[in-house]
Amino acid sequence: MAAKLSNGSIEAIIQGGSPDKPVLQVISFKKISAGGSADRYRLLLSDGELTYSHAMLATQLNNYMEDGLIDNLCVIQVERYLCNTIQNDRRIMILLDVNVLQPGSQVGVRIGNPQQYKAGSTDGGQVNGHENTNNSNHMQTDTTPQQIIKPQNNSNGPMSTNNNKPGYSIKGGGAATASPSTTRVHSITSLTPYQNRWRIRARITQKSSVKTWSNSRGEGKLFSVNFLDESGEIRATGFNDAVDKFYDMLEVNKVYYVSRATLKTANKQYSSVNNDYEMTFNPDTNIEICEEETDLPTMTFDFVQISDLEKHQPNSMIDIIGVVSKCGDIGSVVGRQSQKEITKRDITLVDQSGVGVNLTLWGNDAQQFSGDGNPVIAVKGARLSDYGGRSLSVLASSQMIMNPDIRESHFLRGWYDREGQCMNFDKFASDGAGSSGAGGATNWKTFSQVKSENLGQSGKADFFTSKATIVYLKKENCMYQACPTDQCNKKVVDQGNGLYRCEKCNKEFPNFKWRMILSTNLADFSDNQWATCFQESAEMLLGEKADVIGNLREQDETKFDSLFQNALFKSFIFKLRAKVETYNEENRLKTVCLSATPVDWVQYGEHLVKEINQLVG
Amino acid sequence: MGDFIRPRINGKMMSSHQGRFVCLLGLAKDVDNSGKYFTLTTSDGQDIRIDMPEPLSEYVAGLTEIQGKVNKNTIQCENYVVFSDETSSSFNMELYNQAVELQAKLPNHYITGVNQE
Repeated sequence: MAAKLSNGSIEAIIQGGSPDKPVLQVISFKKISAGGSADRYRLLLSDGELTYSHAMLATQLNNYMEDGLIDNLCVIQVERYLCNTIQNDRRIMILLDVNVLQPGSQVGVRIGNPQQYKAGSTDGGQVNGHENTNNSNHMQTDTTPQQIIKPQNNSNGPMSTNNNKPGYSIKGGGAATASPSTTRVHSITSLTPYQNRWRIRARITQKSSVKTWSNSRGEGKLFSVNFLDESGEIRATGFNDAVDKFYDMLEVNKVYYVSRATLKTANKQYSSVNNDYEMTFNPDTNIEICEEETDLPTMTFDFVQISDLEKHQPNSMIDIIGVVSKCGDIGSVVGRQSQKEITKRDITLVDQSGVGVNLTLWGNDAQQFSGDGNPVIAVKGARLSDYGGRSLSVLASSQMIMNPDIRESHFLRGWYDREGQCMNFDKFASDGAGSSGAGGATNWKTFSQVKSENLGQSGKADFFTSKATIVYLKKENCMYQACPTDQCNKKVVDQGNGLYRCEKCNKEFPNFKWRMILSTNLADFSDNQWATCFQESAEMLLGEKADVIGNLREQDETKFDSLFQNALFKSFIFKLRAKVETYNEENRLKTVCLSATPVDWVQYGEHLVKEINQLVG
Repeated sequence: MGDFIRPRINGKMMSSHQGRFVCLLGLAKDVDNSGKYFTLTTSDGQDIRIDMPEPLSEYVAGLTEIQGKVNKNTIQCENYVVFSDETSSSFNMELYNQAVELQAKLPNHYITGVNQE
């Protein structure tokens, strides 16, 4: 037997009421292709007394139509809906959430004898006076416009004000709604391109940096943010002027009122936000900060304890929070693909698990970062790598917040101030060999592979890692006198009068510092390889600081010689860079040692086991 | 010629080396009061009894290497080496076990000498 329809509910809805979960029949439907990606379905609904054709199905329910859940003559219970006014008196019902009570095949007929609803003839005639309105104020047609009536969905909060409830129906009177939604707030999920008098109140969960582009059609700048409210999320982008207007004012984790932006179908290529639409700020867009306390959902984090990082797979996204125990200096690396210089900064985060981990910041993040005061840093969506055991990197899509106002942050602050600062933290066991340039998987090569694969000969630099043994060290010309100025390593000219001149700094100094250029021959089981080691790696191989070595060379030749002897046949993990260099019109393949680290036998052993198992299959 | 080869094994390889001379590296414990035998926990976690030809004259504990003959599920010890406490604590038993199993799986790549018949 057919379900009972909510007679009179359509009349009530059109009048501005909001009957609770009306049961209606879908007489028929029509698919409207929007040209973009989302089709829309227009429904002819009946409540047994009236039929109404100005009803649309929310796009998130499109699959109900496509899968045939909703078909002609089926009976549905509308769990959630709203009514929007367009063009004066026309009211459109938008069904946001629907329960199919009986499929059309079961019902088979039009229930009752519904008549076509005619706008204007609201009194008498068709309605039998049944109203299924529960907790709403049912208004007559001639009352004041702009009455707010609560919709019937699960509202958790005070019923009195209109502030944090999603889904409002605005009852328009005769006049067009001139003063638009100034005090009303809509839900993000209710936003459509078909209705542009709306206002949302949402929190920013993500903000990108300003990006510029330049192509054949012109150039410009843009930034984007993600807005979140109780109903859902939406992405918003601002171009050119909007960047100037809004970029600085919008801050992550703060709540804003937004109105009058352009809605269009979402370009899923640029965003992973779950919404069919996205927003673009236009010259009319209005954004105000929301000062009141709200209970909008905040950014949710799923923090991983630093000690648990090794349980997670490299290349996965991690949410992390910790105190900055160490902040490195800004350095720069040459990007492997881009060949451009990128600034980076390494900081160390620690937490109560007693382990510290490296977090790498890039570009602007690196430049603007200050570790003063050991701040708490939270990152959402940092990428985990197995560089150095385990290490994290802040990507463009990650979100980093300093000293966030959340519970974990307060705990960390208290813990660090009390005990954390004095603790010794475990570090992740370095896998001995790191990566090249901008961070990635280790590129192990044997020396015979280096030769057979012609590494470095293609014009750009090739980076690789090898475990090798020192078989020869060139003692002659292994060091030079350099400018004592920090960062300047230019060779100084001995003036003879006890002064040394640096051409780069254009100054003379009474002293110099020793710098190493050590030519060495390394060997592994497959072949050997000449490489040049500079200061840090040379000091590692010889086991002494350059100044000490320099002094020995001048003063104690025996000890100097024994330093070189003792270094022979020691093994290290070498990070090497091979590149063809042009020197006086001649091209030469040069291999430079970027770092030499002592072999961690356990780490290296595990690496070998992995490789063997791969070979064995 | 004599059999000087002492292949390294772990607990589960004992049965396939019945009557042969092997080398077993593990953690020693539970020395019997008589000093004539003790227990060695192998790299794969099995407890094997080690029988001494003569009672032990020193205390055996921690990382220990036993060379001897496999006798059912005990070892008749010929030689033993006791490692220092420092070495014992820093030794990675898991990795050693993987090495032992790999060289057993790929004997052609880990030739140690002429095999016993």
